[in-house]
Amino acid sequence: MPRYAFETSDPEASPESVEIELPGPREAREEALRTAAEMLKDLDGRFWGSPSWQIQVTDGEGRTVCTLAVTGETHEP
Amino acid sequence: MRAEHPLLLKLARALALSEAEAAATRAVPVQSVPFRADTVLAREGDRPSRSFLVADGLACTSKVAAGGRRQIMALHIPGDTPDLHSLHLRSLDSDIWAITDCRLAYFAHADLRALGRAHPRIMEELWRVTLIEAAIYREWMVNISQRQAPSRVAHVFCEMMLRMEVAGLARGRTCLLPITQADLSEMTGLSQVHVNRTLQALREQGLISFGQGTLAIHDWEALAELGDFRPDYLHLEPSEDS
Repeated sequence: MPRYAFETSDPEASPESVEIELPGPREAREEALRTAAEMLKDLDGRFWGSPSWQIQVTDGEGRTVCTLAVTGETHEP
Repeated sequence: MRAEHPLLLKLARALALSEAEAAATRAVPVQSVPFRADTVLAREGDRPSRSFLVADGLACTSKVAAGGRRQIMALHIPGDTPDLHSLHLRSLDSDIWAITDCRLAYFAHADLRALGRAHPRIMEELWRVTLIEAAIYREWMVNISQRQAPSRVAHVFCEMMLRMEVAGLARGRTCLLPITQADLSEMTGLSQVHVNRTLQALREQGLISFGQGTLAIHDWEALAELGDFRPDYLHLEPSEDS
């Protein structure tokens, strides 16, 4: 199975990318979405301290498979 | 010397067996069957006429949801009896897989029933064993639904270490735990990427070593706290009646 590298912009975690084997780009995009949802959930309220977060997936040849960026805005009451 | 009867070893861990109880247990015929890693040991819908004890190896109970994703609901280590409930529930509601090469010891349901009817304390102990399994399932439900990733992984590691210790399969907070990150992902309901990052974080914090099929816990107190791990649900104290 091809390897895909997942790199997140999480300021609290080490920046090294995580490589895993997946059947293809569709599964890589699925994994990116799932990882994003889980990691944002674990960030809890801290996300709002710097409301910008990103995950980027590249394939074995260094081509970008997908980028998923989440931004937020807080509005004072 | 003949190897001791696997069911006797299990019962003797929880009960002070009388001579008669031990002799009756020893008389239960055992069929020992080897399985290769990654083979299915029992399937959802099976209607077994016998139950097994994991004599050797690591197995898991799992279910595949619509869409093809698999959830591992429990790990089974030597001494466990993952389908003992089939003694009372006709058909299996989940699959059981060998994670590593396994050796299973099978006992016919008819023999287990006869043993239990003749020796009620043994029947009670078999009941208690399945109740503890249910307690573990309850805890895993909390784990996968309410805890954050580091807690989920820490919790699973604490549980497995403690169970391995009780089974005499761990030494100095180190045990064999030959599961992959993909298995861990299916156990915790987390993506593989998230599991990988979580493991890195636990290593960097000096809490664990995990790899090459081995788990070592370097700071039990800290890992247990992170994992929200309180071992009450494992009911490790022997049964009241022993």
